[in-house]
Amino acid sequence: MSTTRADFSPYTIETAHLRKEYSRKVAVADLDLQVGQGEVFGFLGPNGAGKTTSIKMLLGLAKPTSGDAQLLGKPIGDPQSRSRVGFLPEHFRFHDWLNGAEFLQLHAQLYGMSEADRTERVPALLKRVGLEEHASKKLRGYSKGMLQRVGLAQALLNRPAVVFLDEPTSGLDPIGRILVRDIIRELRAEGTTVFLNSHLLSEVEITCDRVVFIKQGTVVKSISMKEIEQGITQVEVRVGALPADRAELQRMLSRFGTDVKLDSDRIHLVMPNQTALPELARWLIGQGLDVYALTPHHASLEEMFLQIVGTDGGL
Amino acid sequence: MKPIGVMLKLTLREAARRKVLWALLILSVLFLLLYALGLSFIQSEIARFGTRAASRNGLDLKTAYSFLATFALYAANFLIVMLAVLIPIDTLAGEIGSGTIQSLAVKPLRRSQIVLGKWLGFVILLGACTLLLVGGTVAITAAVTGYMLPNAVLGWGAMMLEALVFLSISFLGGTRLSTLANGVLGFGLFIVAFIGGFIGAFGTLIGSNSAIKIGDLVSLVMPGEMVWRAALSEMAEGINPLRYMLLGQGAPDASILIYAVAYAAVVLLLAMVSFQRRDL
Repeated sequence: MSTTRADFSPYTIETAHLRKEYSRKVAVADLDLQVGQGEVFGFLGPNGAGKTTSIKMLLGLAKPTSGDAQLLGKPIGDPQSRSRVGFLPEHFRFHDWLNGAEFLQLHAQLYGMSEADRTERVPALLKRVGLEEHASKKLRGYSKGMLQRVGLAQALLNRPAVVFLDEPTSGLDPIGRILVRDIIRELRAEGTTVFLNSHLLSEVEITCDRVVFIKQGTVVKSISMKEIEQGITQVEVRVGALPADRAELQRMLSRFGTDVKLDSDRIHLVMPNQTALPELARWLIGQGLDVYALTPHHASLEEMFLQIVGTDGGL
Repeated sequence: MKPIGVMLKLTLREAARRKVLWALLILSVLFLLLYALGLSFIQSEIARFGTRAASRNGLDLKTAYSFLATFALYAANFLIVMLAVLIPIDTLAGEIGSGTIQSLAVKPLRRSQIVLGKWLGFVILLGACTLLLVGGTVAITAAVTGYMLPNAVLGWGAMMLEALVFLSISFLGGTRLSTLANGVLGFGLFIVAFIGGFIGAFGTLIGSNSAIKIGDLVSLVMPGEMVWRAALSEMAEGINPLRYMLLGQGAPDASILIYAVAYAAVVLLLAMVSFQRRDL
C-alpha cells in the first residue's frame, strides 16, 4: 500500500487562506483550520458565517475561489480520499423512493464496498441507528428524525477516517440526540476524526475536544474544551462581613479579575483563569475576611459564543 | 459494481419505482393500438372498394401505405422527442435543487460518472421505447396491409439519434438551469428546429437559397429534426405527401447523421464538464 501524507501529517484536515466568493458575496473570507487525527472538532459560528460553505469546499462540493486545503493528506476534491470520508448533509434529502436497506446498499456500492461487506454492514448500521424494523419501509414514509438516522448510517458505511456531521441532531428527539452522542463517542474511541457543525452548543460542549468559532468566514477563536473548563471563570465568594471601605476592597480585588461587584455578604468577579483561585482565597483570609464559600462558575460554551461572536452575527 | 453501472441501475430503478416505465409502456401500447385500429379501418375500406377502384381514383396503394406508416412514425417521433426532453428533466436539476445530489457527489467517484451513468440509463429507456414504437408501427403495417416499410432500421436509428440529441441537451441544461427553465430550453430548441426545417423545405420548393440556408443553419444549431427528415427521405416511397411537406424537393445530406452523433457527444461532454465545475 502506498504511503500518503496523511500517514505522517498530524492533521486530517488542513486549510490555508481558503476563500469562497459567490458573485460579489464573500461566503468564506480566509479560513485557516487544522483538525487533528481522531479529534472531535466543533465548527461554530452564527448563521451565514460560512460553515456549510466551508464543509462543502472540504468535501469537494464547492470549488474554493482561492487558498489551499488538504483532506486526509490529499488535495480536496480528490476522489480517492473521499473513499475514507463520511458525510451527513444539513438538509438530508435522499432518494425517497428507496427503502432504508436499499438506500444504504446504494451508498455502499458507491463507496465500492464488496457484497460481503455490504451484507454485513448495512443491517448492522440499521440496527445501530434504531431503524432495524424499518429497513423495508420507503424513505418517503420516514419521519425527519428517521431520515437523519438513516443519513447518519449512510455516513458511517465505509468505516470512515473522517466524518462530517452538518447539524446531525436538528431533527432528532432527546433519545436520538443521545444516540448521536454515543456514536460520536464510539467514533472517537475508534480514532475517527469527527467534524461537527451544530447550533446545539450543549451537544458540542459534551462531545467535542476542541471548537473553533468562525465569523464572516474567518476563524476568530480556536479553543479546546479543557481550556474552556480552565478559562474565564465567574467567581462568587461568600464572606461574613465586608469592611467599611468597600471602594478600597473593590480596587484591590481588581488585580484578580474584572467586573468586581460587592453585595452585602458576597463578592463577585470574573477571573481570566482558575489558577489564581487559591491565591484569591489566601488573600481574602489575609485581609481578615471570613470566607464561607468560594464558588467558581465556568463560562458555558453559549456564553463564550456570545462573547466571541457577538449578538449581531446571525442572519 | 462500478459507479457508472450503479448510477445506470439507479436510474432504471427510479424509472420503475416512480412509474415512468409503466407510463412509457402504456403510452406506447395506446399509440400502437390507435394506429392498428385506424389502419384496420382504412384497410377494410380499401378492401371493400377493391384495389382497382383505388387505382382508378389515382391512389397508389404503396404511396398510401408509405404515407400512413411514415406519418405514424412522425407522430411517434414527436412523442420520443417529448420523452427525451421530459423524462430526464429532473434528474440533475431536481437533485441539485433538492440537495439529493450532495450525498452522491461526495462518494469516491467522478461527477462525470454520475452524468454518464444516468445518461446511459435514459438511453436504455428511450431505446426500448423507440424500438417498441418503430417496431410496432412497422409490424402492424405489415400485418394489416402486407406493406413492408423500407429502411425501417434507419428510421429507428434516426429517431434514436434525435432522442439522444435532446437527451444530451436536457442533461446539459439540467447542470445549470432549474427544472422549468430546462424544459423550456428543450422544447424551445425543438420548435426552432421544426420551424427551421420547414423554412428549408419550403425554400427547396420555391427555389429560395436564403430560405434553404436558414434551414441549414438551424439544423447546425439543432440537428435533431433534420436527422429524422434525413431518415424519412430514405423510408418514404412514391409521391409520399409527408416527404414533400417536410423535405420539399430536397433531401438532407447523410452527413447530418454523423454531425448529429458528434453533436450529441459534444453536448454530453459539455454536460459532464459543466456538472464537474459547478458548486453543489
